[in-house]
Amino acid sequence: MSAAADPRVATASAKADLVERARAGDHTAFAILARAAFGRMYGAAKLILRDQYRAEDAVQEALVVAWRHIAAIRAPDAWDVWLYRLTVRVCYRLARAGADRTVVALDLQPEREAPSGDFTESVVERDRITAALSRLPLEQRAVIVLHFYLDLTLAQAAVVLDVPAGTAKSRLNRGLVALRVSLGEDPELVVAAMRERPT
Amino acid sequence: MSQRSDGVFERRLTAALVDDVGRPPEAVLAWVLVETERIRPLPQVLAVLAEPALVMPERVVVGVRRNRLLLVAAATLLLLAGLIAVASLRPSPLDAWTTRGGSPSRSATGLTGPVGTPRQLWTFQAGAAVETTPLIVGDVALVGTVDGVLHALDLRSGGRRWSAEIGPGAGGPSVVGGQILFVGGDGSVRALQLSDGSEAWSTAVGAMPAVDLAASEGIAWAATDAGEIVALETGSGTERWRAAVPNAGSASPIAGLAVSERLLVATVGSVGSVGLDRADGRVVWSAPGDGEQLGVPTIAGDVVWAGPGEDVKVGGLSALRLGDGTRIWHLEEPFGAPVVSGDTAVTTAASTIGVVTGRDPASGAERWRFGPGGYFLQVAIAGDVAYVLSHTQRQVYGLDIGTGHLLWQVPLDAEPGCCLAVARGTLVVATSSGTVTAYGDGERGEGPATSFTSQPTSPAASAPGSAAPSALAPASPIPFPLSVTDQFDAASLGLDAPISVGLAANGDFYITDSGHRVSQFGPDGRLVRRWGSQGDGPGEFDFGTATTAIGQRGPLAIGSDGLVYVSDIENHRVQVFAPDGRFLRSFGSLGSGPGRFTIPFDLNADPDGNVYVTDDGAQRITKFSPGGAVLWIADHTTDARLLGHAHTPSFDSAGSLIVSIDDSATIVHLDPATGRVIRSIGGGGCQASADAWDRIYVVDCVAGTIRVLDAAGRELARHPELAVADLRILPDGRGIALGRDGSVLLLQVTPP
Repeated sequence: MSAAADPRVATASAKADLVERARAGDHTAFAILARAAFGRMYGAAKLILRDQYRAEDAVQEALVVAWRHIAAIRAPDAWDVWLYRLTVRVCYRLARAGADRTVVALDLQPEREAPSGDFTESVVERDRITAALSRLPLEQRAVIVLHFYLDLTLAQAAVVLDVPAGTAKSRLNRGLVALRVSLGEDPELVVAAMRERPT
Repeated sequence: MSQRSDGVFERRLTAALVDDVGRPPEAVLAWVLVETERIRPLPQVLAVLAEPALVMPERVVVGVRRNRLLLVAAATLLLLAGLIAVASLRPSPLDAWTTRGGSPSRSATGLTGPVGTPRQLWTFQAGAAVETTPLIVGDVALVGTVDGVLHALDLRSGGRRWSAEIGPGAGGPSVVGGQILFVGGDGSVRALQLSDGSEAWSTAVGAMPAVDLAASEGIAWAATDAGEIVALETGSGTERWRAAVPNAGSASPIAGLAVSERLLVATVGSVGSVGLDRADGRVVWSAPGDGEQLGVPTIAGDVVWAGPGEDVKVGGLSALRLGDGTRIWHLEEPFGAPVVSGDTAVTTAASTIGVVTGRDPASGAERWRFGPGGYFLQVAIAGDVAYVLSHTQRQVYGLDIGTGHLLWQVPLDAEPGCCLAVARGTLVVATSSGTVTAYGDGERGEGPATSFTSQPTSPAASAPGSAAPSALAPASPIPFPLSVTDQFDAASLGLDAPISVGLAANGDFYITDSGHRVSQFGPDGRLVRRWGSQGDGPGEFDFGTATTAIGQRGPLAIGSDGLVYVSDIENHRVQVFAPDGRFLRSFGSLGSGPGRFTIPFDLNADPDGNVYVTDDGAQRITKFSPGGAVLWIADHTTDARLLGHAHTPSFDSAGSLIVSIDDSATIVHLDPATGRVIRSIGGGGCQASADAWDRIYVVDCVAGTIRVLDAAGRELARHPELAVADLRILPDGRGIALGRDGSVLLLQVTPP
């Protein structure tokens, strides 16, 4: 059963119940929650770190910390935000440490769904955008990932990043500008478009 | 759904991000769930202090605000004081297994073992048999293999920290002062650094590798084949003294060494025991034996014990006063030197008598007896648990040292080569297959990783030598209950190399072969029909190639209605055919998601046409409806007893689903309706099938031999020669097997 389809976390109340149970030491409840969140945590880590293996490290560590510190959570509805914050925190530490990792062979590489439509063009576009993303400073990349991949509001992203909302907004805007310019767009047009972008 | 009002670029960005992530690695999540199940969350106070406050608008949702930390700290100060007092209790330096028997006295105390029924933490494949004692020192486990490699493993994860060549024939290791000492195959005494395995020194001594070194407080003692003991400084390997042991030599070699604070005790062949001053080798006392071949002595308090060696069936156990060697008591039964903890001495009968006893150390009086039979290798005591290692039963038994009651038992994948190690809350066992397994606390989780299979023993009579009935007897052996009723060789059946077999209720049998075909034969071996070719279309198969790591695989199952189910391995699907070979449907595809398969995978079908697939690569069991819909998935996340590679599902007389987990050598029974684990027993292999009397036929993963177990997991019979690659038993007692030589065997179960 895929995490997205898991009815045990499909509703806010169901998830809150699981969080409460996990807080009380119910590892089964924690496992359900972890499974449901794992994919997005990994995705965010991979996009921030731009490294599959360090992303695995980050998610591993974040989930273990989440279990160890689970008694610190006071509101079940903060579960996802807290997990993302743990993930980002570890990502920042790994990225700044610049830790080298001895590559360990994996049995299975993460699968990619075969893209529909024009395969070649979408792959090229994806690679250009993600390459440009890699060139962004860490903080800008993180807020972009939180906002566009995890679909967090800027307010939520600010909480995750532990920065004021205004800081999150400015990092996002600067990151988007840098991204679009890096992809070859006219800087003046980009800035004009950003001014008109809904916030 | 996003609340954003995205422009074109933002939508492209989002799509690119999602597409770039790919599929998350399930193995990482699996590791996390295993790891977190093993550890406890912090208490709330500590968790709150450890976790920075997370503030969502208007409220703190994680942790506490900084300006409240002082209040929290003040309120918990007393609690922290207590916690610090507890936390400051570091693991005792005694809580280490540093040599054979755990300590230089060969009767280690102060050890901590797993809490509750041990739960497997990790396994490590050493690549060769392990026949010397594992060690546990700090957070490291040390294991030496017969091919001369010493591995240092992380005690918590089993990750290899380093490996060092120590040469074949090396003796058992001992750790002292940050160094690992052992006798090399050439008789030298060598020292490696514990931190990285680099060589510290090597001294030519002429020592015997078969006699484990004793080492303590900067000195190591080794026995030579000339009947001498050599004392070496562990820091440099410098010989400090060399002393001849009375009456010891090539005819009566030194059998073992044990060390106390002042004395070194050596047992000598069938001669007796000798106590020497460990400072200079001066003989302090000499105690004659009773003519039996002695084994390694043990020392506890002011008593030394000497008894028959492992393979000796005669003789007796003596308790001697450590100071002068005078005999305290003698037991005229072939029990080896015990391990002593407090007021209990636990000893195993030498050779194959197969009994473990708990005795009064002061008198030798027997208090309890535990007797599953077979040949025991070793006893260790940690806390109030005696860990007993059985070679014959391939088990570790946990006994209450006060009563001898069986608390738990852990099956092993093969015969243990030597010894186990217990310390730091961890049990480490290594077997002749080269598998090293660590077990930890088992008090939490869904249930025990192993199951009780015996009743407590009753207290024994008080007089030494008196026998008490064994409350736990091994299963009575039976004649091997499978007989071959017919046999066909592959050529006569017109087959390329057969791969798997299935048997229908009407007596027809089906075979997949290297030609990527399914062949149906009548009971007389007459070809009925044959279909298939290599490909990926309906009715086509790809069973792989013989040269890959898993070889060719094409398991098939025949439903009670005659439908034929085939694991189309390389096409990652199950194909279903009518009894006449018509393609009906297929389901599955490559992947790790629900309803998908990796390779290889086995399958079976129940009378309702539901299909049960054990995916070796994904390490899970999936039940599919006849139409291919996923009904349930069971793996280690649903029950820890399913951790590992599950093989060929089958059914017992009650309809329970049976799968064998080869990693843990367990057989797990599941409720077919829900996938919930009902129970598990030891003795698993690569296939497990049950007959109508719930005798379980287990095929060994390596040798292909068949063992027959009862419902409790006790061995009933074993065929001395028959080796198979595939085995199926039907409820009516008929069976079919694929011999290792490619022949097809029709079988019949003999009712009890």
